[in-house]
Amino acid sequence: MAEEVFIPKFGQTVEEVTIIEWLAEDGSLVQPGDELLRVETDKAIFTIEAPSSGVLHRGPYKEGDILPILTVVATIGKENERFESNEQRSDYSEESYKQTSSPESIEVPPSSVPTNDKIFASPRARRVAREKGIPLESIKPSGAGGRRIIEKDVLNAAARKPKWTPLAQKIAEEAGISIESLEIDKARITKEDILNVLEKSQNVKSSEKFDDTFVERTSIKGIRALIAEHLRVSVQETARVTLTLEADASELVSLRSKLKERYESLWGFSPSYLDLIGKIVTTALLIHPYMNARSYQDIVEKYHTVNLGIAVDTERGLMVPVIRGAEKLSLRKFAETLRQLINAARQGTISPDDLQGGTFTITNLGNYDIDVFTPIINYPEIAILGIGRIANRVVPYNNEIAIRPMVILSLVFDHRLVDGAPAARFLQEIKRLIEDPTLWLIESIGEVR
Amino acid sequence: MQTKSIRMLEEISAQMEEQGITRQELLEYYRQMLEIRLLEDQIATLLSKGVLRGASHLYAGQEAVAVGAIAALRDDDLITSTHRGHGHAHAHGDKVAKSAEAKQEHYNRMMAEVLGKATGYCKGKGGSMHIADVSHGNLGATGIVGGNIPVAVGAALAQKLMATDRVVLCFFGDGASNTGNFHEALNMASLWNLPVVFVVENNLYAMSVPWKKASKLENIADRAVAYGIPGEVVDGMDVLAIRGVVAKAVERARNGLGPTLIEAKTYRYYGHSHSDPRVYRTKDEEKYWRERDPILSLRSKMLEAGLLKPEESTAIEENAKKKLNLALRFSEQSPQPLPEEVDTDVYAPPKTTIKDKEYETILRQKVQTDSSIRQITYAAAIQEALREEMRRDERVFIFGEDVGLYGGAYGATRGLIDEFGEWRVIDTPISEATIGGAAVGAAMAGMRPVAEIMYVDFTPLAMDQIANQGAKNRYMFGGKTTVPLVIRTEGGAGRAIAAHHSQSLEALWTHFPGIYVVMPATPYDVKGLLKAAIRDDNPVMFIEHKMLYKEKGPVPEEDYIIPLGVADIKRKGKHVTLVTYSRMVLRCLEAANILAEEGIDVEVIDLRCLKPLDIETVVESIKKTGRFVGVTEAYENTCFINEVMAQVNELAFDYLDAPMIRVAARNVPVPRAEILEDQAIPNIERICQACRKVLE
Repeated sequence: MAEEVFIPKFGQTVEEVTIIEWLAEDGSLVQPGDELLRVETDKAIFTIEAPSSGVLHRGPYKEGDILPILTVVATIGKENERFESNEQRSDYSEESYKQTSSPESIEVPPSSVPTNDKIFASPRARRVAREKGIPLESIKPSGAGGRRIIEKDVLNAAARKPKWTPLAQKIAEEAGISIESLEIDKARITKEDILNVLEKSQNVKSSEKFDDTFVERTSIKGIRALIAEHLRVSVQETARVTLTLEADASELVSLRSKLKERYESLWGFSPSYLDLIGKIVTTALLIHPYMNARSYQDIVEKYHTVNLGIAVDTERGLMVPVIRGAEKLSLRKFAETLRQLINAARQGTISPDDLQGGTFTITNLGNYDIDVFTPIINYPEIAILGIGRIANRVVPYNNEIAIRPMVILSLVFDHRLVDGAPAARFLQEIKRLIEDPTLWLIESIGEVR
Repeated sequence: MQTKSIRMLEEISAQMEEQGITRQELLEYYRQMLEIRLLEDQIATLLSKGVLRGASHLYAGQEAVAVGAIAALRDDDLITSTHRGHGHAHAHGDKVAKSAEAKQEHYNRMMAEVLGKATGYCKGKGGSMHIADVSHGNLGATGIVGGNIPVAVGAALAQKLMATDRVVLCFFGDGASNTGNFHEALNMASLWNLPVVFVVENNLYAMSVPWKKASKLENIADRAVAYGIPGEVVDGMDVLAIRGVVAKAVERARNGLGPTLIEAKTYRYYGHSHSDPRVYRTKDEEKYWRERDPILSLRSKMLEAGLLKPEESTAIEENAKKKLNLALRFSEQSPQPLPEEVDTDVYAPPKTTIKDKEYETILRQKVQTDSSIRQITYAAAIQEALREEMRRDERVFIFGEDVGLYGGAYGATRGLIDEFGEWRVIDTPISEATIGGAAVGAAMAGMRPVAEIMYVDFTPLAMDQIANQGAKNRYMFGGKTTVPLVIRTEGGAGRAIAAHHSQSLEALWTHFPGIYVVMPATPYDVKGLLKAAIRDDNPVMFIEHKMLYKEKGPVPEEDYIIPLGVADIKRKGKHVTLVTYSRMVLRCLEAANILAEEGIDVEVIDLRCLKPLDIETVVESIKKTGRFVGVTEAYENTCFINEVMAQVNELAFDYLDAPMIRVAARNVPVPRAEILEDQAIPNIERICQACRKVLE
């Protein structure tokens, strides 16, 4: 019996991977541990190794193919065998894949990170939702005491969506336009609406066709597409307000140089501004837990533990590794964890589980001489802090004109969930801790309030 | 030598003269016995080579009984056979086939049936144990020991009612004489002097148990005393002796003097079946019987007496072998049945058409809306249906316990005896199995019996007869018979008469293929459905409800029928589909009225027939409502509503907006005390609760 090589489940939410490259030739002799192929999940690259020795028979998958996890991609067996799998990818309807991946796939939400439950819907509701093109996720259940979506719920949801004439639906289908992708703000969508959309898109396409001045043309896919989708959802779902303020960073600068002098050789590194501000923000979040939260539809959940996301620029795009339980970590441990995560993210070896579950995110563009910016909230978190560069500015100081290192902080928050004044108080807290970072030593362990 | 020959000639001549048979006929008996023997030996070989699958109970050794007994019949007489039936089938089939070609064809079809081929007597659906040729009077073999004795009595009853002078010859074995069927059937046959001759082939063993371990009597024939009929013992190895005894009994039966029990002492050479090692008997015993071989002894007698020349004997043997080879080749070359044949021949085609359905739909609306239509009770509606059908078709007759003067336990046949007399409204002994089996036999022989089993709780006593013989015979015999019978019975709780008189056992009956189950709830429905059931060519279990007999409702005076398998929406609604039948229809309608006040609009579907089931009406309703509640008075465990739910799941899953709910009797025997009965049987409140729950 040939041994099957399959795409393992890399994390709780990873459902498909893209083949980056095959590392072993079809028909070659492999030993356990030999690298066979590299695949990319939404945020990391993994290498799949041979589970046993024998001749590799690759499945009909090539670089760039997107495969559901648990797909058998190759077999290892005797020379005269061929690749054969009961679980050809074409058989992989979503249903069967869910079944085959159980029980491991049963979602056990980590204690601090909530995940959505399975959606219960009556067969009738499912049928009607399918016919009307309404995703079940968007429907609020009322059956069986609010647990099960029933037909009425779908019809209520449908009533909120524009109605399509059958002709419009047909034209849209034939043109390959999905019903969800069209955002026409009308109660009733007719043939004319679809034709208008089609005309516009053809105009765009034809103008692109004659414009040969672009340098490179790539479709938005893979990680870029995921980032795009993530940001789109955030912008759609949140009501963003940006607050900025300027903090005097003199004490912070002085603290950092002291730490550097004292610990650089001892620890092998010295804490960065990002480390210091990360710990300061963690403390401020403990004092103002309403900013340390996640939201789902009608629910907002506040946390006692800080899972701090740090935006990291990598070759493969923006990533946000999460430092779990940041309030429990010493400055040194925090800094070390952050360095490991950033390294892993940049090398593409980061685990998908380290890229989710954040309760607040900070992003730092100070290295690029940016002072003020309005970052997008890392949804379903409810706020994000942008850190500008620390730069000497002319400022009034003790009733005199002075030159002092200053930093501008930009807080973007979801006004649906937090009002301006509490958000401002939170930002003030950060300012206070930056301007007198020794307070943080005490307040970070919650001894003051 | 000379003296011996003369003695043989004298002996055989005396027998021939007495019975009026010719040398030619004698040669025919010899040939038939030989052909049975060759067939059985061939089947034994095929079995041992593994060519032939299935069970075959071989007749070798007993040939004289079948050939001798059937030789005593007229061609239009009838026979019933047993699981060891090849001999009966051949003796009968060969006798009624008139040309050499027809005889070969008969032999071919028998062999083909044993091999399960499409060209067999039963199209390969019956096999060795179910060879039948009903159109020629062979009512078939049965796999149930004693199973055909009541059927033969029914066929004989049919002859009496039709006033023919045909006789039914009923074969069975020593084992069958210890079944209840034997006693019930012989009692009923003797009681009414029916034209039936019972031939019990005592081959000394019921499978492995010897007769002396199964009965205190030496002779089975002695049991005839108990029924006041003649009992005869005859040498089962002597074809002429058997023919003589049976001929006398047939004569007696034909003259209306009633049945005779004839015991033929005989021996089967092979084991009970192919897998029988015959450890229960000795080689010496086998040798003793083989020395009395019916074929060899007839041959040597005829040779001695000069009635058969050696070269004639050789020619007969050669011809028989040739015939066998042809039959074997025919069978081997015959096709297997087509896979799609699996579903054919279960039911006789319906008698009603789309037009009848449409007409009834209109009539039903009229009945619901026209207040000028007279109101009669459910019991009166049954009486009317029976009276009208008995007037319309003289083949229709009623029989059962207390159906005559008494008019049935619930008065549904009251008064009918006055119009139709005691031979069309027949009071029977308390013999449920034979009531069922006689209905089957009478139906196969051309009558349209309406048998009554007083309580549905008693129908299990008749289950073998109605389900194993009645429901399956059409299929087992390759669609070549119809069994147009109605079993009227009644069930349900409500009279505080506990668990032997209050059950709802319809699920026992819906389970078997080949029988319909009808359960009407209103006077209009019961009349139209009973008339349709009587006219239908299939067995119908017609289950009334004891609490409905006094319920009144509109019934038109015109002659109408309700085609079987059409449900009735008793109340239209849009929120819940409430599926039910029989008395629960009334409770569901009351529940619907209560629920209407709460704003819940319930659609009540009365299935009327459980088989054939009108699932389309249920599915259409669910497409509208999305919610299913099934209500039945039967025990919840494996009740018929479960079947409805399974079909809804298959056909309308995507229309369900909530899990289906059933309301059924608790899984306890129906109790006597009213307060307990109310707990056990679905009441209106439980139905209401289920409807509320399905809408949660």
